[in-house]
Amino acid sequence: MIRKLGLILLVVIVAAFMMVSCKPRKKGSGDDDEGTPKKAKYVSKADEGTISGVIKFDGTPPERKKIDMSQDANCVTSAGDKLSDDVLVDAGKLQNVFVYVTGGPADKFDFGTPTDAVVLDQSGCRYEPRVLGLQAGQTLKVMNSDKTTHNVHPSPSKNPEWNQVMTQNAAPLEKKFTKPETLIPVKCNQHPWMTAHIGVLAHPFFAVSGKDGSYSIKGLPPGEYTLIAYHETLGEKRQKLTVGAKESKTQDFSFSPKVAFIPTSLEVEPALVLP
Amino acid sequence: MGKILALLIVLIVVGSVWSFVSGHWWFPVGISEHAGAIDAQFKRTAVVVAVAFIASQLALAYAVFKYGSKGSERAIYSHGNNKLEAIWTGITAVIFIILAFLGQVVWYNLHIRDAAPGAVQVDVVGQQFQWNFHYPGKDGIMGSTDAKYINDAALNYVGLNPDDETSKDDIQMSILVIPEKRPVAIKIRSKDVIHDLFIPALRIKQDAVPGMNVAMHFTATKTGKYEIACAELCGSLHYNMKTFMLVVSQDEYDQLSAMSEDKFKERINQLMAAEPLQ
Amino acid sequence: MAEVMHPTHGEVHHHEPPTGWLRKYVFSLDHKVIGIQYFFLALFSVFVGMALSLLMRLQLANPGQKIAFLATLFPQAAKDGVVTPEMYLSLVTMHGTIMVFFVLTTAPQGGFGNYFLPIQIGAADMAFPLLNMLSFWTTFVALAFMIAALFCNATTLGPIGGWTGYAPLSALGNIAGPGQGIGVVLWVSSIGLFCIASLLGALNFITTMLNLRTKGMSLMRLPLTCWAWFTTAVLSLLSFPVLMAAGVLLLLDQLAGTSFFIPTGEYVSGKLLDTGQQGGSPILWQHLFWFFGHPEVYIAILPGMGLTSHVLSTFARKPVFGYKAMVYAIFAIGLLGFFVWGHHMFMSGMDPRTAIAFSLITLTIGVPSAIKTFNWLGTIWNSRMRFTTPMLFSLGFVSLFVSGGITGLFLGQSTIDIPLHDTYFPVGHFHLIMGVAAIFGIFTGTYFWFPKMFGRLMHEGLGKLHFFLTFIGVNAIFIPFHVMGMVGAPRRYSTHGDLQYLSSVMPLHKFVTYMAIITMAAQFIFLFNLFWSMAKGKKAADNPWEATTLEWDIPSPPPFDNFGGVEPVVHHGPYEFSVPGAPNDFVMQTDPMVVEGQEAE
Repeated sequence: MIRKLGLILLVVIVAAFMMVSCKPRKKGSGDDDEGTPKKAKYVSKADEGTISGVIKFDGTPPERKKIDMSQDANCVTSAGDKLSDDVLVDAGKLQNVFVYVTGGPADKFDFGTPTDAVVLDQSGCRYEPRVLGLQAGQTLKVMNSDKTTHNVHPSPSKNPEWNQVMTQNAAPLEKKFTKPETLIPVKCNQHPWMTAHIGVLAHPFFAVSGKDGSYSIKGLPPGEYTLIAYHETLGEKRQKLTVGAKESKTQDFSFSPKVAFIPTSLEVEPALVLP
Repeated sequence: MGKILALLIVLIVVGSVWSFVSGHWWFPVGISEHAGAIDAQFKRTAVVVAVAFIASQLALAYAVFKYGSKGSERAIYSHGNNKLEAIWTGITAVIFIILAFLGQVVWYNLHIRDAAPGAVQVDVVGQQFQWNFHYPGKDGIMGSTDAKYINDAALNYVGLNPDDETSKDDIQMSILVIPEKRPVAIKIRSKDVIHDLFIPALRIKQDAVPGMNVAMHFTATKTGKYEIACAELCGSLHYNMKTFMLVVSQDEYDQLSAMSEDKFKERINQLMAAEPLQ
Repeated sequence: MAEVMHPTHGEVHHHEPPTGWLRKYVFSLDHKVIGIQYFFLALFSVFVGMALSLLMRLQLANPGQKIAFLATLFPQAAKDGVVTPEMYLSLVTMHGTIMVFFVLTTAPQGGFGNYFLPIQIGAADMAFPLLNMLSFWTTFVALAFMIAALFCNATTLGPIGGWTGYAPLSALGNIAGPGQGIGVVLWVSSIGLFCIASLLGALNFITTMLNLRTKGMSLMRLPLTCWAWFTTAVLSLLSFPVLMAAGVLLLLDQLAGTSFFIPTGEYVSGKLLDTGQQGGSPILWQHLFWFFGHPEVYIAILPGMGLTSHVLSTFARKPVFGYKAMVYAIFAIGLLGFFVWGHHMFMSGMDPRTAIAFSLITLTIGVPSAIKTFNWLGTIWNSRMRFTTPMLFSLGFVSLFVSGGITGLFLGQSTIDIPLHDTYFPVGHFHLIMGVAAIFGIFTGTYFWFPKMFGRLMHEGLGKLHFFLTFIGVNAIFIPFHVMGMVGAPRRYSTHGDLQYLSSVMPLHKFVTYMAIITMAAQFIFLFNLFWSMAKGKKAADNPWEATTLEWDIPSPPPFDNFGGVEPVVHHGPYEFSVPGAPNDFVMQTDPMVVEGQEAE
């Protein structure tokens, strides 16, 4: 009886150890999407097209507010205009819109993962850039150029959440997001005004609108796509389009101050697409 | 062996007493009306503590020094002395309870008595890892807030209701500004986890608890710039959740109260740069 | 063996020990083996806890310094070889939890209590040997979970919420901080398991002491150690279920999305949580936690207090001063311990009127503590002390109990708690009284009972060296904590260098770190002495200390069934030393002799 009980206990202990042998690590190691079959490697037929365009802003842009950084003297003395930039409009053109495609060949093939890292810098107690995209499995390199302590805290819904303090002169953090997710908000809890958004995609067909509102997505295999333009506070716009062989398509979007629709992520059901 | 231990105990007593009375380490200078009362209660208690501490340690040292075994000589056979026991118990009980009652006066004034009418209003909102202070602005009325309006990215940290007329002129800033010699009533809450507003110079410490609104009041007595810390573990940057308090003259405060948000902040930043840290 | 046995009236019920190795040493039902298992579990834990505190001390003395071996040990959590702020907090959390639960709660009660309670009352084993074994192995699994929590987050070493794990920081998951997801789940599961283990143990202790006392062992003839273990068991029985309930609720908040401790309108790290989590109370966790947490302080210290009375009397060669007062004081402390939990929460935002009540009751708890101190001094007054190592540690216990306990007079008053709450002042206070004093109790027990447990004597010279280094060290570490707290140094800060008003604290941090390193090094003397003496120590006689209680009446180490199946008969109280007219200066409890001049009981 005792011997049996002992055995049961041993089993419980071993099971306990196995149970706790770090689930999150296991999760992180496999980067396959839930059970999706492996995609075929994309072979170029040298017939890729391009989508480009300009993001416009109709109406009066919201006033840019002065950010109060007085809690951290190192931020106060740092460079930068210290104005809010969640909606950044220059001459009717909207900056920091994340534009990407979905559907068609973009989802069918494996386009490989770039080996170079995408940099997110913390400078002047702001994120630089505020909006950025990278591919699943690609390295995100987070730097701290400030003379102060930050913490980098992305809160994804599909990838594991992390939250790491970066003191002054800390070595850059190198991190990966293994699952496609648009867009992951990033926050510094020490300086709550600091916000960035990271779009993680399974393919390289994305762009962020520049100061002049322009964007361009190159190297698209011919096919039918849904083009999505996403702004962190103004919502998203969608457009179905077909890219022919070697075609250069132009597609502009225009946003208005009224929030259109804020989706939670890329994988929105088609039923939710705005007409 | 006993003599060494006795000497050691005496040295520990001397060292402990020295570290308290040397003056190297003491409370920061108190600048609130109740700080003096708290310090006085501390000193009263310190006298009792010192007497009890020194007396019992020295008694221990003496016994250890004196009553080492000597050959085959036996100890005095005794099971105790109930009379001594009762006297000792009685004395400690009376002293401790008197002390406890004396100490509650300050507590009552700070926490249980209501703030004086016309006290300056400031709301305090803690978040990981910043202190936000919400001032009523020009109209002197606190605008309404709700968690659903909070948006850090849009700099609405305290959740001011944009549709409320009285909140349009309200100011949020991460510096606490209060006038000297005028009662200040603060309400403390938190957006996420428990924080603790710790202003050493004011002898103020109060948890900021999500879902609660804790009221307390005080009067600062000396102008200057002072440090504020967080005293309740709130996450990885708990140690860095710090800011400053400016105690300004009543004139300065009246001027500040009449300013718009931008002017207010500009003026505060000027004062922040000009004032040395106390 | 036969000649040390005393005549009895009962029959002889001799029990044969089990033969298999597994049954004998691993899944043993013998309370002595289980006691030793608990002892070694605590020994392992105390060195883990100490190593964690060493890392904390290194960081506090020189914030941000690179520690060579750190990057090798923790390639992910300390990539740069620096203790990061989040890593510091998990060190704080794990140090506190491991020390409180797996050292201070297990060693004095599970270890020595298990081994010596049955022997001191004249029983062959605990009332429920199987329960006893289950209790140990549940504790073992709990420790495995706790250690696992150390390794389950890449960027930290585990949860970062402190050993008090205040909600909602501990209830919100990863969004509230690194290590607050799976780390907290493991941590709180470990605590839950520990609660079960303690409950099983407590039931066993209470039943054993009330039902298995041998002939003549009336309640007022029990050694004070037994009273301490008994009261501790009662405290465990009443307080651990509350912690367990709190732990289960926290686990539900973490895993099932309930909101026992999460209030409405939580806006965490840029997100408004409105997923049905409504109306929880963060303060509820604190009430439940401290309803356990305060009695826990006494769970840690009471066995040390009992043992100190016992050892002081033994080596002072003098009866305990006011035996009954000592017993009643233990009860009073245990009882009052349930009504003072609110003094941990003066700043929590609870109704300020309750603070007044909690203040008053807290200061009254000083009265029985004063009785104890007075009686210890009374015991050694006019005595003839033999300064053996266990005696030195008991005297050290008294000194530390005074130093650590007396500052409770400050902290117990809600008014004075305003500047002192959550600073280094309470950290110094509880480390002295519940940490180091209790550890001194454990050392006393080890040096005192080692000859009985392992049949050999520990090396006295090394023991004394260990005592003096440790005694100087702990005072030099924890007394400065008090003044740091007065300056206003908040606890759980990975550095105090960023606040200007704390500039006077930084040199003290350096001093304390040096002292801590010396003190920790001294513990290896103990470790060496322990293992060396087990193998090479001088053979111990049955009663090397000339003590009076039952364990010294049987061989060292005791046989499997303690008294060889013979029921001992008790004729005296436990502390009959220097009885006038007696042939020796001690009268064993089993000695049927009646001496003239002996006080009537």
